[in-house]
Amino acid sequence: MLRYVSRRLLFCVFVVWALATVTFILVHLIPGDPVRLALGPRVSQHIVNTERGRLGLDNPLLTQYVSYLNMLLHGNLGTSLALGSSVTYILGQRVMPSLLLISYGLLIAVLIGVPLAIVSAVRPNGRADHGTRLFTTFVFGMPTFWLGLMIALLFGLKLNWFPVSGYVSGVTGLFRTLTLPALTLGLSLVVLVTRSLRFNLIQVLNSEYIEAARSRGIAERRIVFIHAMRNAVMPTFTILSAVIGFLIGGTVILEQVFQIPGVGSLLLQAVLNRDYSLVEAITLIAGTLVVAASLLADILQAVLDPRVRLSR
Amino acid sequence: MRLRRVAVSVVAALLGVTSLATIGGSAYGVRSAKGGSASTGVPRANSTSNSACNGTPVSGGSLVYARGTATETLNPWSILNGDGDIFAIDLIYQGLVGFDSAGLNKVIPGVAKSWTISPNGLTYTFNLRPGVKFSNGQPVTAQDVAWSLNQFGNPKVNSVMAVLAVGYHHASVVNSSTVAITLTHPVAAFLNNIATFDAAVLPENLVKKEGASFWKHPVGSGPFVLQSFVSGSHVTFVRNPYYWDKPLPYLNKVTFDFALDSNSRLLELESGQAQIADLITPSQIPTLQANNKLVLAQHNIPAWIGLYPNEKYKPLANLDVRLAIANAIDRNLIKKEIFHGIGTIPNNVFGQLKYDGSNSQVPPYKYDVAKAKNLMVKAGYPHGFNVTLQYPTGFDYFGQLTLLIKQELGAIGIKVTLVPLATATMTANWSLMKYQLTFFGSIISSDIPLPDEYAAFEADPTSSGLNGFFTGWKNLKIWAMVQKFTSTTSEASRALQWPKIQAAFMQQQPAINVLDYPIVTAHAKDICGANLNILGVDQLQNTWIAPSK
Repeated sequence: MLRYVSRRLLFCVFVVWALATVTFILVHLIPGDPVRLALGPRVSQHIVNTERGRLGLDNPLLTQYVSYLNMLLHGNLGTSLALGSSVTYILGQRVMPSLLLISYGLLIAVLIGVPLAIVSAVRPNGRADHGTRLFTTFVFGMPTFWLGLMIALLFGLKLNWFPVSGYVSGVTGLFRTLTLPALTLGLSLVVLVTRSLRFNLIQVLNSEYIEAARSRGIAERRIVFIHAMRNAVMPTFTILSAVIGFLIGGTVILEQVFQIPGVGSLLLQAVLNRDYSLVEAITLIAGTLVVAASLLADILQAVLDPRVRLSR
Repeated sequence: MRLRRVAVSVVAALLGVTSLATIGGSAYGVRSAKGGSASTGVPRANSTSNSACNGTPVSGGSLVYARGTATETLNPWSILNGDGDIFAIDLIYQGLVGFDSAGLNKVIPGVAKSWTISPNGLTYTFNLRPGVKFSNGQPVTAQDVAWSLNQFGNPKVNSVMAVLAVGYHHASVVNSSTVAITLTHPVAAFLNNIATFDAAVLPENLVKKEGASFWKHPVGSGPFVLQSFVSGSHVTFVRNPYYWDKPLPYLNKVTFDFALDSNSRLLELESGQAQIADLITPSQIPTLQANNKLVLAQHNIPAWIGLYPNEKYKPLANLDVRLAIANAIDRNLIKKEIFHGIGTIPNNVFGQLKYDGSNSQVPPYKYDVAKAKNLMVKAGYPHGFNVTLQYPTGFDYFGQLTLLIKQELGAIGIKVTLVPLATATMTANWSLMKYQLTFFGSIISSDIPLPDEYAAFEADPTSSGLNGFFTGWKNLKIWAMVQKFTSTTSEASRALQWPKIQAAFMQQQPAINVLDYPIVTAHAKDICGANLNILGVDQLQNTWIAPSK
């Protein structure tokens, strides 16, 4: 087991390094000058070039890369070119709203997705199953920003149940302001939860040990919720851990539409401003989270199922 | 013509959906979508469209303003996000002078109650208003004023807007109620330059003592005080109890909600969550006009949509080609079909500025395809040439505008390849002159309502200049005229000089003005006095909420 975990950990370190490197290269390859953007159009190119020199942006890319890795190894994420503060400080201000939004979105996805999956799996190809598949396909097919606007239009403008946008702290404020964006995020995830769980449940419900349980006269409800769910939910958990990247990506647009001061909207502005340090830091952190979640899921699976660790 | 209009309408309808993805934002002097015209039913800001506002202003109430740009800093000498910072800064601080809050193009007293200018135009002496206090109750002293102005004049401190401190030498305390500012050479626009946000008066002792933390809880002498600032979400202000101009401000509390998405601003306004929204996009105007609970207001400021030709590309260095392009653009069609009737056909390569000659003095742009074709023949390009046109993505109207221009230039043989680019790339390409034709920013606006700034940007051929505003254009005769104009302090003489310079620029077309474009804001019907100053900024001190009947 220890050997398996060590190998996975080493692989994760390699993935994080590769991610940092690819992000660094891509960010610097995007056309656009962060210094020109920061100083505005009214200053001469000479002043812009002087500032680029001061910031080390005129050094060869390799020199900048080595300096970047050196900073990372010392736990320094750098300074935002556009906002003039340390990246760590900026992220500290913005990380909580995103975490809350993602957690709330995930909860909604599970609350909607699991019952739908059970209803579908119990009677495959029945009316409920068709309805669920139609609903999840419809929701999945809608662009996130459009779905968000429609939800804001319905629950905010027409029904006036929640504010159309904004962010207020405190339990009541968070519930009021995060519900609509979390619902949007959750709905866009429902298809993954529902389809994955439905597929696994159908397989498990047709397995021999379930047939044996039925033949022993155990109630169908108990079979589904206790015997089948235990085995069907694990692959869904693995999928959910892998979609953390999708969730973080979803917040980029949603936070903009719903005015949530989180990391997603910060990333969007950072990209538009060509704010190298900020883009690199957010991408690296998001990537590390995905890798960590994937590692955790692998380890959990290995703990629960010895075949996994023995086969690798 | 009819076919073309149909084509434009279809294109507009198809592209209208892209407004959903529009992301607000502005660089300094480059703004996002705005609009307004009396001809479209969008009233001028000062027209009274609501009878509730005919009564006497009343104090009290809170207002939420859905802003298209976020505030990032409250440091007036180091703004980070253009208008997003400027709008907040102008609520907290005040300078010696300011701009008329009702939108007139004039400088009005602020912390200074009056001033005199020496005959040689080199010394400005300001008499301070007695009893002015900062929001912490501390008196505004002559030393605070002199120190603050010297920060404004120091390009190492005021790095972003150093251009406005042109000619600034030094401010010194004459006595406890008088400050004198000396210049290195006469600068006719000086009073306008120090009426801008970066010439704010701040408490020297607190800024020095607190350093960077001062900007987290700043103290100024403006109408409002910072209450809270949540980065990326909102900034809230409350009435400054020490504001000198009693009974202003009328409002108790103002919140700027950072609604960067244009549709979010619209939803906030329609739901009543916000009472005012800025950066109304052209495609939103019909929706807002149909809502009888809201008022659309047009604010004329010096802003325009400018097409820039790079003279490094040989055909565009030819004056006749530039004139042909200027004549080939049907501005009336653009105004009607793309901007819903908003905007003004310009008679200036820049926006509408003080001293501009009338249309009879300087004729506006005309749409004349036959003349454009003749100019192409005269230029030696009877069969036209190929050219690329860069334009910023994220603005629905630019997609439509560039398609129309491509069609119109095609009619005189110029084959246009459209190159949509992110704003960051556009700006970099423009300043490095890596383009042929470009709309380098969405909408260009002047920092002051006088021609001095942009005339110098365009004409200054010296190393401290901007290389014809990054077009490579050069004309020493016009530069001499501009130099004389910018150093003339006599208003009468300047009023005589500028229309000639304006006409000379029009004859040269170093930049092609497509349309003068105002700001359009929208607000709830019970919001009164929601005027912007000539630069599109609102201190909100005259804004009040009409009591419900």
